Amino acid sequence: MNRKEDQENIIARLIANTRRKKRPDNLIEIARDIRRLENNLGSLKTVSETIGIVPDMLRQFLSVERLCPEVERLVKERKIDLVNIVHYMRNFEPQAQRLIAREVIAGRLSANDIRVLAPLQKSLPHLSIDKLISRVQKSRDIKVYVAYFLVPLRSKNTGALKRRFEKIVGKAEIVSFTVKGQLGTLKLTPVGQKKLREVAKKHNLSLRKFVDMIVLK
Amino acid sequence: MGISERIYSIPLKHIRISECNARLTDKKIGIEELAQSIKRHGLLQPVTLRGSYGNPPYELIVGQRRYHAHRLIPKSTIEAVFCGDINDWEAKILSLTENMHRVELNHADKAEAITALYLHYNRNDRRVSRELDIPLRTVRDYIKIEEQATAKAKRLLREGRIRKADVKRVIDAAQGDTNKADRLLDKMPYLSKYEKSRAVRYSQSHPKASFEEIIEVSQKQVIETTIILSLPKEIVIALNKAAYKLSMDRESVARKALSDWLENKGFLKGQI
Repeated sequence: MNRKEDQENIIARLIANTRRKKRPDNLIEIARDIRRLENNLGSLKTVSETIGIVPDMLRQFLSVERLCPEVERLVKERKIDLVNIVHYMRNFEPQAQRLIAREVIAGRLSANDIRVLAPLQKSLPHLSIDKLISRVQKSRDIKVYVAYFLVPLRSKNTGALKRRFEKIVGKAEIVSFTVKGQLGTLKLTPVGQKKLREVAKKHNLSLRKFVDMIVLK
Repeated sequence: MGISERIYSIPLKHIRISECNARLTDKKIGIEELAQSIKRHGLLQPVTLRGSYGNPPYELIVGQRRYHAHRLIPKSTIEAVFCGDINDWEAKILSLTENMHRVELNHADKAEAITALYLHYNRNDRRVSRELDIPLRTVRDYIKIEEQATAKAKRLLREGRIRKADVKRVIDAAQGDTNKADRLLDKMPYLSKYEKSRAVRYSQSHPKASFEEIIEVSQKQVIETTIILSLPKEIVIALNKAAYKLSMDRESVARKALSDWLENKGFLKGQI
């Protein structure tokens, strides 16, 4: 393949990877393509003009170059796949990056939380990174997703109903499950809501309708 | 090392950058802004060249960024003075001295200058933004701090011990109470961003709240509830359309629609 064809392929790949919600490639491959195109075209500014992405956004993609090898591997495996998460992680020490990555994968730390971590670390340099992480986790607002549902008159075993939800989202992701009279209330953590939504999608149902389906099963 | 007083107009093609120039990195950072400023106000300070007029090519000792900005505009000539036939060391010292002494203006100096200009233009912040080529939001931030921050806040800013964003938060939270503001200044950097937001929100809805009360509330987690609803297809389509047209997310549109309806029916009092 000649140089021109190669360059055109890189441009096509970069456009596909930066304009779509579902990127075909991982962030490491995207950063590598940006660098190759930068070498061919001479500057990041020219890359930006060629693919129509502002230079700041390109720099965010290049943040993967500042990750420690272990975290880089997680990005390669697409366990961490959000560009803003990688961007906010770049300035932390390798040990801190590893801890943050673990929390991100477990769904306990969001991009916003990592953004909050950096200035806090500057103000509280004596605190270890795990204490800072826990400080941020304990300070953020708690998000709870609530689904109300009608329990059929014939259904008396609410324990079995609760177990059906636990089987799908996991026990830890149910904040509370109550049934008063015919009205049931299911409260989920954001992770629980996400899991339930994914399963609902597989059944080709909206989240709300999927809850009803489980209740009526 | 005597610098000539006479200013010459030198063609850019007769200039090459000296290896003695002290600026080795960040040569082109902010060049576009500088070019805009030169376009609008002209070159305020000539560049310095080695040698004497009449023997091109000339070596540029001081003013590399101004030179690049002229090329970007593009201009064919630049105003310059000559420092005579100095040796490499003298050229290096001259370049270094100029860069070392021209330190970035600190926050207090900028805030004072911007506010003075704002008052000069009859409190027209848009004009200040236009004249200085800086975003309107930045101009407003500087003015807000200059006019409303306490002396302590300004001192901490000058010393680099607090961030501008935190001073703005303190101004919003203190609601004009300087004593409360000074106490909040000490605490603000140690709060997480979530706690800071809660402190500001609570102070604004409770202007008489004490410092202790604000801090206590800021450290309490708030439970944000999202109710999962089943909506008819037509409403989902309408919601998507509104979100697209209003550049809002669907959740915000739904929240607004619901709060407006509840308010109209008298179930909700005051904005949320």
